[in-house]
Amino acid sequence: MEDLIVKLKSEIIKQLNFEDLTVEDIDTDAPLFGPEGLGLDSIDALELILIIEKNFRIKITEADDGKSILRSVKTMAEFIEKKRK
Amino acid sequence: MNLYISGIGAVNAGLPSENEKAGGDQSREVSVIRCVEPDYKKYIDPKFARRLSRIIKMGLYAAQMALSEAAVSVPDGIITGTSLGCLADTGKFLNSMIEENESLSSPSAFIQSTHNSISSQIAIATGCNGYNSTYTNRGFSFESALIDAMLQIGENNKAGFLVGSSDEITDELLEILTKPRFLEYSGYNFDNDLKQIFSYGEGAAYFYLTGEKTAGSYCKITSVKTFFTPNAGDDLIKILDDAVSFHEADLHGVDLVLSGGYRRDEALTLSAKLSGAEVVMYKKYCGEYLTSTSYALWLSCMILKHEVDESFIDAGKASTPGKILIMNSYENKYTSFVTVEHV
Amino acid sequence: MKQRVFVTGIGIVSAIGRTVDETADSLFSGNTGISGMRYLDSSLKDLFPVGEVKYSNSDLSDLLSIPEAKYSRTFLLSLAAAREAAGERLSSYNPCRLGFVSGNTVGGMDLTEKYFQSMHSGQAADVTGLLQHDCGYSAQKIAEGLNISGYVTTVSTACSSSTNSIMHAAMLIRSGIVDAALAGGVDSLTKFTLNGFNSLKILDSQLSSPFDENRNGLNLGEGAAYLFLESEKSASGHMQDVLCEVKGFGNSCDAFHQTAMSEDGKGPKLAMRGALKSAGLEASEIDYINLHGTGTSNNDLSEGIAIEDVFSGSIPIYSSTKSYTGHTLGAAGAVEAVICTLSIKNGIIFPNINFKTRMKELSVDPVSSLLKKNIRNVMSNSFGFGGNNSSIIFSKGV
Repeated sequence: MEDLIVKLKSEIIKQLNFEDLTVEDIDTDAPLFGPEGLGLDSIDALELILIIEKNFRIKITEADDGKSILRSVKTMAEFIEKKRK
Repeated sequence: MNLYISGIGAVNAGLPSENEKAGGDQSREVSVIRCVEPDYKKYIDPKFARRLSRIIKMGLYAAQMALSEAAVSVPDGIITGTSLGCLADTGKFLNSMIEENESLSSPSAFIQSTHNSISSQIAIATGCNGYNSTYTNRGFSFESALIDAMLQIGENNKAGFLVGSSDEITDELLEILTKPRFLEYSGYNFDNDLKQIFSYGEGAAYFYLTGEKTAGSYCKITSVKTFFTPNAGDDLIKILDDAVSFHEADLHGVDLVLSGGYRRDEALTLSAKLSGAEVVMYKKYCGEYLTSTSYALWLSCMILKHEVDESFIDAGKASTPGKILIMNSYENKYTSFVTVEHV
Repeated sequence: MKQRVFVTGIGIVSAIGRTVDETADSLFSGNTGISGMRYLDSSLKDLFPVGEVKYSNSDLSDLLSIPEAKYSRTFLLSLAAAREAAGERLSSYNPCRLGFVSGNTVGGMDLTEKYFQSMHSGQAADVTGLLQHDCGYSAQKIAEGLNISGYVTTVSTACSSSTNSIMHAAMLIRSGIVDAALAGGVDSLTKFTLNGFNSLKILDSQLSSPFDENRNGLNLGEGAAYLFLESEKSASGHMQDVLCEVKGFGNSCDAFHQTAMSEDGKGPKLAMRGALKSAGLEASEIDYINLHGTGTSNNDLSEGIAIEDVFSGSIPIYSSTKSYTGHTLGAAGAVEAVICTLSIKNGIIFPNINFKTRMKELSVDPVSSLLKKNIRNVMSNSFGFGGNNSSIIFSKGV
């Protein structure tokens, strides 16, 4: 799980262009959207879905609860782990 | 009508005296002059900057700099000229679309590739809900933005508009522009003389313009004219004559010409036609790009503001010019005249 | 005293016809031009219906009698519509007093993406096709061909490009920079835009339902349209040709987000109010609104709420004709301007095809069948990415 979390964080930094952040700067449990977290918006949400699909070949479908899955790095990792099984 | 200038900003290769700081690159078939990259954080919040490609950052930085000088936080309107738009993001999206066979495309690169992104991001950054437009027409992209500003301010004399341009040169573009087959079609006769002085370039410049003179106004644009001259051939002097007779360009009293041409003989003829005005071929300081007139306008403002070491203007007139003519004729098709005077 | 600006010529090519007459026939018949992809060779072919112009590039070159050469589709469509709008009119003008203002977002991307594809596959690729890449290429070629030299430019403000072109041309005429101008725009379907919109997940896999509670996105289209605009003085010798008048216009920026419109419709409200003020009209004097109405969740909500506010108490009849043509992007404003001209001329409102259920936030339905109505003033909306919002009002000429 730890490797997965590090991978997700480094993809977030790269694809969403957080040039000044390191993996250590991103709180695993903090909300990604909204002012308390990284302040992501709807376009970033699409990028996060792409990160999951590109790196782990897992699609988030209409049946999945996208909002909950993308809530934090932790919830994203948990979703991926679950789908892998 | 006059457009008074009270704020300017730019990201470019710098003043003629500073040009050696610019990223010149002589290693290719045709050389390139790149901008001196500023510290963008000075005017752009890093949180906001992550979504901005370089060309947008260049434009936004120049725009904020102009607003800062004019002591204005929200303009009444924003108009931008960009001839090639957001090339880096266009290339990024295109390449990824092809590599991934039209699946897994990044929305950020797509939305940042649209030409109006520059004007739009400036509006978001400044909270400007006013008039907003973008022109992308080759050698007239910046001039159209200026003319539109004249029209808008003509209807509302109290308005203040932010007007500018941004064009970038990417490695991918340079690769294409320097291919021999492309050079053949480039419209330039690349003989050895031209090769000595020709460079591709890039830059962004923004101007805060008002219809009425303010305490901060230090120069004014007194005319902007464009005419499409595909049949002019090589005859810049004929274009000049036509400009005066058909298009009522007022060139009386011009004492400095910033010319987008490259030929020394042409420069001498121009000077003679304009009662001995000094002629400086400005593209040796900024390179060739389709919105280079904005560099010339920025340089004009810096001269009229007395912030320029004038030794690059050849000997002759002792005093600072009072009326500057910027004349460009990209590929001898896109002919434009801009006159700028002291206030 | 501002010169009035009249429309005395129109030209159009889109999914519903190659000429004004063909377009009018389709509009009257209620037949949509949106169908499966026929000409664009995309991997997404079977996933999304589109509003393609029903001619290949080769067909278009033949119809235009230009030599078979590697022209971008954007140029071909633009030339077809520009020629129709110009008709025989231009020869009676001094070229220095004529303008050409075109709106465009995609440029020659159809050639560019083919070039990059060939390079990627290691095949030979002609780099000179890239000379047509930028938005200004078509305007240059057409101005050369039609001998227009007074003023030539291209506007690129996403989906509001050609509405802004018409506005700019009207202002050039009013200020006396030119006496007449061809104004409008063009965009062609490309893999770039198809994939771009797909990445934003706003394409409908079925026929789009603008302003419907159950709408699911937009259908992309392509096309070109131009209006021949003249000053009052220039038109005075042939007033029988006047189709309508450019009465007023408004342009604003939402300044909210790069792609999404603010939910309270701030930008659209400003644009519509600006147009009314510019035209010197009350909201109650607008007889019909041709909506931007793309079918996306965001646009239709924002636009609908803005209309409820600006026209509160007297909401005009409205419809989105994108249900016929698809969303033609940079050409949309001009395509819809031509449709508005036909509405005024024929006293008829063309419907929202495919409408079933009213949006819960709104108090009226769009028109869903042909409606006879005497139209004095029509408002046409174009709201683009980047928050570039424009509204233009056309009025019965004389």
